[in-house]
Amino acid sequence: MDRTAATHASHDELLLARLYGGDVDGPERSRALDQMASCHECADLFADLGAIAAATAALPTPPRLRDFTLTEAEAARLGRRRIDWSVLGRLGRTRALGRSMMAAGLVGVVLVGAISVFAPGGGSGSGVGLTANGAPVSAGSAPGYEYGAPSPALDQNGSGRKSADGGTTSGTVASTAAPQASAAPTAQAPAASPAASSGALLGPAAIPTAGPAGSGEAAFGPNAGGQGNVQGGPSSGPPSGPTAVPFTDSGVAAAPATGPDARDVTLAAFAGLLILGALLLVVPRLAARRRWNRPR
Amino acid sequence: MADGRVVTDAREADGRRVDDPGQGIDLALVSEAVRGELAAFNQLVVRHQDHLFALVYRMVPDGDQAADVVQDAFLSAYRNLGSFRGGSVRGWLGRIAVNAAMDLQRARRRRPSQPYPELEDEAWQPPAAENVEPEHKALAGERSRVLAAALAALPFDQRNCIVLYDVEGYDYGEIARIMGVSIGTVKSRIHRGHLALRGALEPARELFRG
Repeated sequence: MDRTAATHASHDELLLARLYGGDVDGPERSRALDQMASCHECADLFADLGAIAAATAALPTPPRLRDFTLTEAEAARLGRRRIDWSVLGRLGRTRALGRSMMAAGLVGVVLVGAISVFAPGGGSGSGVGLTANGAPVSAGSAPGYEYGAPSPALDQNGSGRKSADGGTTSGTVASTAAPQASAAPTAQAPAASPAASSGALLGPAAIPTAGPAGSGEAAFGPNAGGQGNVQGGPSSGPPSGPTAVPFTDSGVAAAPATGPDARDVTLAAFAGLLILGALLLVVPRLAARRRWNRPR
Repeated sequence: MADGRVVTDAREADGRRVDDPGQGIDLALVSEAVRGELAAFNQLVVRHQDHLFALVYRMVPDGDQAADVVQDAFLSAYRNLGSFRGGSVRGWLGRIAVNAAMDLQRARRRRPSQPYPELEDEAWQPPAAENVEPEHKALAGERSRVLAAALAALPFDQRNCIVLYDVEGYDYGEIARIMGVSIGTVKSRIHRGHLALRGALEPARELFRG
């Protein structure tokens, strides 16, 4: 490598390319011009850039391979598709609406869920249960009442038994807690089911058990024990869900709950909003993808 | 548009009079095509298909694929005639073709396959004028061959920018709008692409001098 080449190696070639593209001014332009004036390699580079650009512009192309005019049949097909596209276009404009609906639905679900967890006095699945004395206890106010934690109701009865044996689902908790409750011989007042006390964990299974326990006439689900009269006990069906039909002490099925709680309705409405928004987002994309994958 | 009818008063979408006769004819053809005249649209195709094929062929240097891209571009243009908002019809069609070419390039990047087979086809030689000496003809052919190979070997982002800048004559801002990137990115791609081309053509530099 001679001296000129060694000097050129330290020069900024990108600066020369920028100079060629008219992208430098002021001191940078002066530096580039000085560089070209003092270095033959730089001058050659600049000349080459011009020659290559000119050759690129004059680069021949092979003759086109076909005629691109449309036939009547293609136009008719595209015409029908154009109508489809107008529909898709409107759908596309609803994507913003879909996003808004999804956002509103998500916020609503989270808010209602948060209210259900933290606000006392809720209805079904709201984490509100009853103690042995009939006092409402929410899940939020009974922090130790979790899987494997002692049941407040049972503890009040002095059984000291664990409410659940380490189950991993709410249904397991409910079904395992019930026989333990029934094994407490000293239960005078009908203790509310542990399931009710942990409504936030148990969900619908807790609905029937949140009855008027304070009156001592409470209806009990399979999760709660009476004096051994419970029929169709916890082992008679799946551990959660609709099996939690309320039973009275005498084994007679109690009247079902009065209807869906307002929070459930609200929650369902927001969930529906969320799902509808998601559909509005997804459907146009799927339709567009189908259109592009369709053979022409 | 009825064949042979002379377009006398082409106007932009906003009512401005168009002075460029070619652009005026294009706008008149577009307005006829929007009303459902297939013949008018096909006249647009005839007017611009060579240019679009040449443009796309430089970006997608494979004849068959370039033809597919151009066909897609015209189909897309026909479908979206209603979205034309005035301005240069040639530029509008060019943007559609460039976008179609970039879609193909992205698809190729996702599913790499044989690099452009046309480059390995030695049978095709660029045309030359009849009165050119055989030596010059051979040199021009060789120059075009090595340049096309070097251009095709560039990353497609750089290649697209160079084609739009050097061949189509778009400015940085227009290229940035077409490609959906910043002007700085376009400048960088063009400058680095030029340097990469020059580096790739270093062994054949004498072909480009004098």
